[in-house]
Amino acid sequence: MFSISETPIVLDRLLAQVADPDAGAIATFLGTTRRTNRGRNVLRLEYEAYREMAESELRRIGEEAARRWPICRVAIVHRVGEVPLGQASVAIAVSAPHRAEAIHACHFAIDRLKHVAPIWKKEYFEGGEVWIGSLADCDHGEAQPHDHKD
Amino acid sequence: MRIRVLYFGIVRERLGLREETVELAAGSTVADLTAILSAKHGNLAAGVSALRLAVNLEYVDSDTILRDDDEVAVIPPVSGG
Repeated sequence: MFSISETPIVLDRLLAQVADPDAGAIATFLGTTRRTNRGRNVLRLEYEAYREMAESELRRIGEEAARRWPICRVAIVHRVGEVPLGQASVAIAVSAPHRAEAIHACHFAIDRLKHVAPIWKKEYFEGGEVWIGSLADCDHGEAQPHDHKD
Repeated sequence: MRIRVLYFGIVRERLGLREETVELAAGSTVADLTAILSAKHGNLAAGVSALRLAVNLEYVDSDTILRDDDEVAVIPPVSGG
């Protein structure tokens, strides 16, 4: 339900994990690797995780979502290692009796994940490489932590 | 006491080190540990926007007191998603 994976994400597995006869809706979010970032042509992306803690934090995010909204189940998977462009790096599924709660909880989960999950993204682009968001001063335009997607 | 220290992301890459064991006096805090690590490796946070630390899989403040066999992770800014 809350895992770090070296292999491609299969959304159907998450859907099966959150399936619930009390649910009237399942909301999903997939984050996918984009080929451009800040005007750079991205060649590839690699993710690293502190696996045990990341899985623990993903579980907490699910628990927090369940405290905030009346939902049924949550599943979150984040991929590590190289993720080819255009593939999913993260997937979230939330089931709930009604759609609004499922959608809100799913949105909360991806936002929270980006702040707390000990997972790091390294971007290899034409002419260099950078750990996204890690540098305090200007480095290839990475002055601010930012999202690669959305 | 012995503390296991784990490094990730940009810090791991700069140090060329995934983990190490550090000897600390009983009653030492997370701040004491980071001072020792910085003396040993140079400032871990140099140029990095913000480092957080975790003890036994939980984020902690720098005044947290460490215990024998604790696992401490040096966590550069996260960028999952």
